[in-house]
Amino acid sequence: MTGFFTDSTLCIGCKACEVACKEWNDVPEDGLKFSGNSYDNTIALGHSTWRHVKFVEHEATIGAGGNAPRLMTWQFSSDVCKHCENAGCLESCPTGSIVRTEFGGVYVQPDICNGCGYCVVNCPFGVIDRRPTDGRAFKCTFCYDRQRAGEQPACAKACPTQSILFGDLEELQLVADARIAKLHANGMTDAKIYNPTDSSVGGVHAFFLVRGDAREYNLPANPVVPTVYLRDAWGAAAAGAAAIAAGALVVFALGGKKRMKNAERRT
Amino acid sequence: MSTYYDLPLLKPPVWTWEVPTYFFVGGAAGAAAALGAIAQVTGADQTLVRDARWIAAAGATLSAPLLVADLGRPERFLNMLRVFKLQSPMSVGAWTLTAFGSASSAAAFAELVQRRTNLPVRVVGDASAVVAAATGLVMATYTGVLLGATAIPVWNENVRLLPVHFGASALGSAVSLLELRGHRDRALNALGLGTAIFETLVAASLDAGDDRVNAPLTRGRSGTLVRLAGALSGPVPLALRLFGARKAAAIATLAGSLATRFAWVEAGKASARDPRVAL
Repeated sequence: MTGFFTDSTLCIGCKACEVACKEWNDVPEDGLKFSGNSYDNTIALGHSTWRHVKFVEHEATIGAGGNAPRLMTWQFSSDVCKHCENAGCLESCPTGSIVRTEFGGVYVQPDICNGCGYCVVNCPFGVIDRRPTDGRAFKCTFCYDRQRAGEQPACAKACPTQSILFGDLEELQLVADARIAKLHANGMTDAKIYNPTDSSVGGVHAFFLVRGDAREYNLPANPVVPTVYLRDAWGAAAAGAAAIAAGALVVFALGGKKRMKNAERRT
Repeated sequence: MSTYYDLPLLKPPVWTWEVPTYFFVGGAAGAAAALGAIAQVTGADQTLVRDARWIAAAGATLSAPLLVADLGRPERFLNMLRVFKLQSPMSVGAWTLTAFGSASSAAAFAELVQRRTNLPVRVVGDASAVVAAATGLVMATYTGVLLGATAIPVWNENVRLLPVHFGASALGSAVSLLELRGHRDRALNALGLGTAIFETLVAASLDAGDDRVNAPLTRGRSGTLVRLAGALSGPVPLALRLFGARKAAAIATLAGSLATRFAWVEAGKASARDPRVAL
């Protein structure tokens, strides 16, 4: 099983990953506007953005870019589809278009997707979306075609600082642990791994190293795979159905008797 | 609480008007099928049973094109039947609609054939009506499951309410459609009163919520729509029924039922936009 380890302490915010991804996968242009949010004009992952470099500005912090105490510090992190262990998009897809590949990634089969949009509301990370000009849902493919050819994904290949590492998932986790230990030893104690193994998502195949609060990088503290709501939901549906049936039975049974009595009275 | 420039985390639903309209049409059709079968079993008048079967069939016939039209690739609508996934409410719904559509159409046509000819189709019709009733009960409630079992906070927060709320709304619609057809059975009025009371309680409880997750139900455009839908589904038809104005109550209930579905989809869109809840 392969994975991504994206280390934001190595990222320089060059966006080569964004460009490489779009070039390799022929992803269309999806907006050319200035957001005003630091140098992030990509804004979010979506149907036509499968790598998104985030720019987080802070007060001056030791070792976090910006050498002068008066200047703000800058952290960069390249976001991507998390390829969840328990993926909301995969579970909810009614056509069976979204599947798990042999590499462990979550993949939308573009020849099957009919654009129902249900995956869009089932991703706790807000990754997948329907492309209006096409009709189908799109997200990071984990460069399935490249992996099958024995290559690494385009973003990992293009990354100049090896902030994006690709490889065997378990090996990457060892690399990440070693990196965290080294950073903590160097005094960067706010560095942490973001891999929500304790949540219902059950861990992700694309995990991150970030500094400080992961929510500043739009990474939710407790992502939930929406299948956890199914039991309560269907239970309520059963209760509702029972109430409709019971209610109708009662009023028609009683109403019927009244009608019979009225009919008898008239004759 | 820190966010990423207060940008939304989640993606909003991409559905357009066809989807909430289908929730309304399909729900009413399903409830009508259930009503008709139960009415038949308890010996209600035959025209009521007949009309209920035709409402169910008509609703089923309208439902499919509505859903197909919303698809990003409508020509691939049959892919909905490639697999059956119990863990996907939309998959369950697609198959339920297929079964319901077939059964309700068969029930309605069999009744017509039986009435106009001497062909012995009564058993076929009645058996189809039972299947239509069973799948109809799913039709009336599963759309609440569809919304509740998602990542959208205001929807999954209300996961236990939505199937029951939509089911009651569907029942109210079925009753109203039958009353607009001219039926004045006391049983229908009782059901109409019951659903109006229930919807009044739901509206009151939604209005009382003051946590951030449920804010789309009381604030902004979605909040207005929820309140309007709640009024038209609950207190308005309740009052009208108590004053004996059944036809007006029926119209209000139908408007409220349609508005309810639109209101919840709008609330979902608003909910997806709030990063502080999702993070």
